[in-house]
Amino acid sequence: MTGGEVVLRLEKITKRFGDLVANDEVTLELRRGELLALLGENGAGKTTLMNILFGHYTADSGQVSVFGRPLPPGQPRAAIEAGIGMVHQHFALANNLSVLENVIAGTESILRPRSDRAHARAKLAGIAERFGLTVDPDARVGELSVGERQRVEILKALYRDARILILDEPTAVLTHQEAERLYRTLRGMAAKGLSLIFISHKLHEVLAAADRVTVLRGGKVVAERPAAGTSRDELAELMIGRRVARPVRDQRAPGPVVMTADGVDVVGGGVKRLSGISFTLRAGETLGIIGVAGNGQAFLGELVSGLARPGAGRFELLGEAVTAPGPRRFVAAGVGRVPEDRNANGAVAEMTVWENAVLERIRERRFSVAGLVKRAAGRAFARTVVERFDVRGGGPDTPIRLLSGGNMQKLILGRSLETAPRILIAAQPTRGLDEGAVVAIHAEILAARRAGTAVLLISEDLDEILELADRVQAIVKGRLSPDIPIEEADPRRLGLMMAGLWNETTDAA
Amino acid sequence: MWVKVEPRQEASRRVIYATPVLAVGLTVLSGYFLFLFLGLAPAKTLYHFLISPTLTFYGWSELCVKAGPLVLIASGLAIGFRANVWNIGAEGQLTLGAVGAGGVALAFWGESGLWILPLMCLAGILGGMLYAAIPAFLKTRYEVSEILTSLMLTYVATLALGILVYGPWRDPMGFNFPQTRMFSDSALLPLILDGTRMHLGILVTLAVAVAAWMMMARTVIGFQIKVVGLAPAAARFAGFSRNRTVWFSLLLSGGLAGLAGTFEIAGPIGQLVPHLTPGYGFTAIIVAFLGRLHPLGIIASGFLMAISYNGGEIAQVEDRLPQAATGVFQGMLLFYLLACDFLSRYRIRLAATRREASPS
Repeated sequence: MTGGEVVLRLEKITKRFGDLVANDEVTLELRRGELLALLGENGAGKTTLMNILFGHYTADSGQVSVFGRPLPPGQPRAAIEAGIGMVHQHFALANNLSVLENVIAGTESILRPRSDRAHARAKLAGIAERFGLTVDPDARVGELSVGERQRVEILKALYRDARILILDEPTAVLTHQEAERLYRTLRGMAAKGLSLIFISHKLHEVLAAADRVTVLRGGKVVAERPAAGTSRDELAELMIGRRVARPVRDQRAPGPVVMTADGVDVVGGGVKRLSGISFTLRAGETLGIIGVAGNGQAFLGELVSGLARPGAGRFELLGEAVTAPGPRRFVAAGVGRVPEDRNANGAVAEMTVWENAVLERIRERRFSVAGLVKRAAGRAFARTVVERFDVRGGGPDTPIRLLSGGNMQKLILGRSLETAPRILIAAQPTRGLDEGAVVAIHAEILAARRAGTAVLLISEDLDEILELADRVQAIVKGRLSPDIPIEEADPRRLGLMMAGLWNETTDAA
Repeated sequence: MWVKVEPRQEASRRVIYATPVLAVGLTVLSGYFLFLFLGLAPAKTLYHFLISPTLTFYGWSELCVKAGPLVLIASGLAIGFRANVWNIGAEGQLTLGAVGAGGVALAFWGESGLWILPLMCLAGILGGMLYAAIPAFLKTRYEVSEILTSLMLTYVATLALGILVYGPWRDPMGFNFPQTRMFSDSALLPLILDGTRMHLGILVTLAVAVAAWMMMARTVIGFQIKVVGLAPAAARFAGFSRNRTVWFSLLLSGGLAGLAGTFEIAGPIGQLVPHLTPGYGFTAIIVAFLGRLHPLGIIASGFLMAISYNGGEIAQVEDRLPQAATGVFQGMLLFYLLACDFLSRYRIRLAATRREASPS
């Protein structure tokens, strides 16, 4: 597939933001019918490059040409007219409009007396048929699944006659099955002569789906490899710039039970958010809760963090029934908590590193006496956490918003682990983090487990669950599946469980 | 044409402290043209408005008298504002505080004793707190916006005061004027400098401003207020109660407003009258923001606002400037301050083409 004509050529693109060189003489070629993966950590310059290509930014130097013709810089319209389409990670769809209306929105002048729906419908049907992107054109977008919405986004680009398609982290919100289906679709589109670039930091996807991989690091192209001629380890090393030893989970016998739920309901806003969930968490083991986003993970996280009151059923923490929970009570009992949304819940952006380090414990005697904050003790604690957990980007008095996502997360995890908690709640602990930070966070979670901490890992990331968990349960529409040992879990079976089909999987097993 | 509002990368500390200065400058500039259009000599009027109040020692003492209640109220409000609790009704809490303190003064009229003033202060603080408790209850129990309730209750308070001074509390020897008796000496604040109107309350106010700073910078409750105000979700996750913060902020700001009311009637006024202040409770909102919600800044901006009151009076006499000019000045100042704040955090861009526009 790589022998076709060059359809897109980026030549020596350089873009600076102040002192930061986001793209440094990046040269890239895309051929007709090719599926190219652009791989790189957060901040490697992938998004900047695509924004230059799409005309949202203007490059300081360098040239973009499409089908052999130079593209005028800084004009999104020119990029669209030249046949470039972009599918963003966050969809830009109107939920209360139909698929067809979403696709044609913006393509017609608002001065036209009426829109030519019949023509649009026929064109859309033709595209959907040709590329196998089946979606009901009259369905309301708000009622579609995430995978279907993504198809609508792709259709939007194709409807505008895109021949080069760029997808930014297209599988971030998809289940394993949906992701596989997407890549089948993309391969089909490439086979029919479209050219595609997808941005990713997931190594196994890149290897499975792409023809060719371009690795960006620090704004530079550091390698180009045919997907068939490289390996996961090599790509990881290229992407991070050093050899990474992936932490390995060792076998060990779990200890006593520290947290149990037996038929617990959680009601929020008058609606039952969790119904009849049951799980058992033991010291020195990791229980993974896998699920597609929005299936009740947030409420499960609130329950086990002491924020939500258990309704029906029995919820026990360290052998005692929890009837009046509270974050402070849970923290005092030895529950370390990493919240799902680190920016909203985990940290106060405008406050300093040390203030965030003591956030949950300011009322403990080590950090305040008679209502007065012991600032020196707080700073010392922060310094310890920063050192032990390798938090980079600032000292105790740096505002935490200046830290990168990975370093902020290390601090949030570290402030809990530094107190040797009996239980660690880790909700989406590596979401949005780059590979280097992911490895560091995973290593710390494994170390905590080895030290006897019970870990409850709530995650949407299959790889993360497979790497860290001892047992897995799936969360679907506020219900929990029975648990299976990790040895019996594979992406296919977990995918079925995440779709709510755990009865079938147990029958099959 | 397409107007876009984009957040700026980083508002530096210097910009944060420069905006009040810029706002003051723009207000003075606008004032120049305002006076010009009013047919006055702008330079002379501005001189009377802004400089004259500061030329004599007595002028400064009068600025202290005016700045006192503003700083006292603003110190309380600023703490609430930090917690995202928007108490707009300090004027009403001041009025109810004055009613409480005035009630004590009238009940013990003619008696003397050192205990009368402290008891008045206590009653004043309680009056302000009780009145602020209404919005606090409605907010924490029913999620009613404290902005609306506290503001509307102000008018209720003014009317309640009117009922008292036109009715049961009217001075029997007062020729039917709507005012109470002049308080006895024991119910009046001692002066701290002879020949001026500067009273003990001004020293208390200074102490309160310093205590407020200590509280925000060094205590757990100050920490809690900052967390709840800056990141409500993180506060909840960490176990800081929003409702308790709302109660605390409203009771504190209400109590301080009540104390300010007490100082007014036990100080410069000496009795209860239908209109106790030229809107200190509202002006204090401007003082709090102009002072960057910081106690030292609040003291400085309190003096600036005091200048606008006293300068307004001088210009009224000297240049026949309408009384409303003071209000216009204060309003312009808040407007420019908010505008400068906004522009220091966001930039406005006019884009010729829409993003992702496409041919039809």
